[in-house]
Amino acid sequence: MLTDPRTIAWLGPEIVLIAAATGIVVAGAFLRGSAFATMRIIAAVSILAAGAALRVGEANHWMTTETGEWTGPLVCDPLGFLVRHLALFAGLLLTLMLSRGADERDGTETLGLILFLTVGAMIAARANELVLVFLGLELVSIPTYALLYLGRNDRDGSEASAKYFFLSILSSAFFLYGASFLYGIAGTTWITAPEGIASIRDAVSRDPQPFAMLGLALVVAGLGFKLAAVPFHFYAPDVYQGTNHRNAAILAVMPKVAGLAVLIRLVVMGLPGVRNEVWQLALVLSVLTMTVGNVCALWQTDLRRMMAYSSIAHAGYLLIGIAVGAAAVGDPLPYGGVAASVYYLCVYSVATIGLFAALQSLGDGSRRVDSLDHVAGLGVTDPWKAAALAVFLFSLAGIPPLAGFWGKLTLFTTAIGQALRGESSMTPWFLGLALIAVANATIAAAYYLRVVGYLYFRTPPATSADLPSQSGPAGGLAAFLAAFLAAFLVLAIGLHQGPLAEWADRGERGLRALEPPPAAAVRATGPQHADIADRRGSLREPPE
Amino acid sequence: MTVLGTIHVHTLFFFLFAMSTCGFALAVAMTSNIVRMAFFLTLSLGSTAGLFFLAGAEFVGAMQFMIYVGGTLVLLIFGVMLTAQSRFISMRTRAGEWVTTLLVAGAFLLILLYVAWSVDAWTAAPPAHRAADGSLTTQIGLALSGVRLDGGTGYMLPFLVVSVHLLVVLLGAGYLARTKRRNRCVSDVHG
Repeated sequence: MLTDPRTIAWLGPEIVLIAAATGIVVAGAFLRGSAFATMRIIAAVSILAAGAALRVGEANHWMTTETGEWTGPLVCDPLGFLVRHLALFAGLLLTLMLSRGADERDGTETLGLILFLTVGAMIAARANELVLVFLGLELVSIPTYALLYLGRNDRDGSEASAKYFFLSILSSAFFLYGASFLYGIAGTTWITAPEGIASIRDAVSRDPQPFAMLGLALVVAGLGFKLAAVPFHFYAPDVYQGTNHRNAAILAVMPKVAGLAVLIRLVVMGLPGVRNEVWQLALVLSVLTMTVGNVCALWQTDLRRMMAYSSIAHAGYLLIGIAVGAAAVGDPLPYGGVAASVYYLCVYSVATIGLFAALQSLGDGSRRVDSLDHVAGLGVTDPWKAAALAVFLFSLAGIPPLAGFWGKLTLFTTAIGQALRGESSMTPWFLGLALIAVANATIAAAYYLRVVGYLYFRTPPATSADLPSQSGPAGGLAAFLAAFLAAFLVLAIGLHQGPLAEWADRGERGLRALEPPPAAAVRATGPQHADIADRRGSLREPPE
Repeated sequence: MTVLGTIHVHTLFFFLFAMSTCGFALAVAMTSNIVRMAFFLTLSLGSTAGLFFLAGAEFVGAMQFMIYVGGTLVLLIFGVMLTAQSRFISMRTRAGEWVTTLLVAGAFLLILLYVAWSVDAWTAAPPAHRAADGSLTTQIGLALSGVRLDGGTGYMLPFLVVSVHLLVVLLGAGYLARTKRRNRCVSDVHG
């Protein structure tokens, strides 16, 4: 059997991006110096073109149906659609936030690498095959190594890139080891498959042997590194601090986007056979991650180090949704854990990239804005950028009516909902999880609001040499544009959260449509559900 | 004849390769000289290739030889030789590190053993030995070019994505080499 032609057709946006990235890198070798501005426009346009290709190719499909299509290596479903949009948007903001001075010299390589890692996140977002999942994750990691090296050439920068490189390779080894066990159990690399075709999900559901748990633990360890979940978070503070704002933004967002998508597909949806172990593991990791992240962030004075702990804490919140989603797999009731997690991922990513873009736009090319003192009194000296920073910080802290508030609210309510609706043995666990999460949100507010306090209630440094921002767009007008776009989106999602929430919901429903329907539930429900079951049935025809 | 007849050659070689794999792997962990470590690793990985051959996976065995023993390790040894400085050649491990390592590795070994013994099929009688032939390699080659005869989809797509990886790696390596040269030029000017 040859590769399904739809597989290639669905990869249109990725092919556009790879062609653009290759073109930019090759052209950059010949056009040194003046080409950066043009190349940046080409990169931004190619991302927009990829977004257009994504919409043209799939949007009509999603108007008519909710369920996904399956070709083996790829699954085309609403979750992949949403996460690929997120990756593209993050890629666009990252392209914009390259600073003029420092990044110009290696501008074309940097742009090309950012496009490559966007493709990596997009592949990981809907890969349904272990090999492709791993390659997608690595296509996020490998450009990141090079970007870390391109970012800063001093001692701290080298330490950061070496540390990230070695630990990331270790995590890839964990993931591969776990994936090899899963492959050994199933004898196939497909994670989910229509009925009648062998898949990891079927093999593990049929016979949840200890090997599946070992594979699960190793895969979660590998993905935990991508998410910066707690036992695997050690690299984050040093690496963020040792690099620049742009790389910190990449590290805080792209591996999390890819890692969470893989976690949902491979662990939550792919291993329902060991779902009890999955939710227990995710719950414990979640509690540890958010508590350690938030508590350690409290006494940081370096902005990027603080954001590193903040990104660890947010990984903890993301894992709440994973725990709820895994606990409710196979449950006929609607649960919403995965949807809440994906929603929160979108909200967190936009606010975090925006925050780093705003910090980047403050710099004047020769100096960076690193510590809290550097942003003191910014509300007076540079009110627009201070306002943008404040919007992101409030959103990350979860202050209504910004996007972050709705994200946290959805996550916490799904945890409580699972406690009330799920099996009685789960109740204390999920209630405790919700309580700890609420307590953590309070701790988090403390350090985010401290930065806001520095922005508005401190006097700016007296001498002009200490001023964090110079006049003129040297730090990057484009970076400010990126920050403005992100701030607009944070406000827009906060005030009108319907569309994003609906897509996150559809993402989860699309995943559930691919899972085998519980026989009792289908029999008990009315005619319109039978209709859905029929469509499911037609979906699970093996593709020719 | 009587003595030789009782010894199963397959089993004999399995124990030989298994012992040397584990033994040299232990030696890698025990020794403190980095060149010796690389050498023991070569032997350990070579014995693993032998295990693959015994299992009838001649393609994986050959890859193990070519990629690990042939490529990676030669690269490693050259890397050590070219960058050898006395303080990196020999790595002292403190007692505390030994204890943590033993605890972590020992716990993992116990888990692996428990899991391996929990598989019923492995404690039952061994399946009939399948002789290695060339058809497996043909199938793998076909699958990599997108054709699979046994019903699945081939590995064309992952294969293409790997080529993108290689492009990125080339880019990074090229940059690494270039900055070295630029730094040296700068230091020449200053020096």
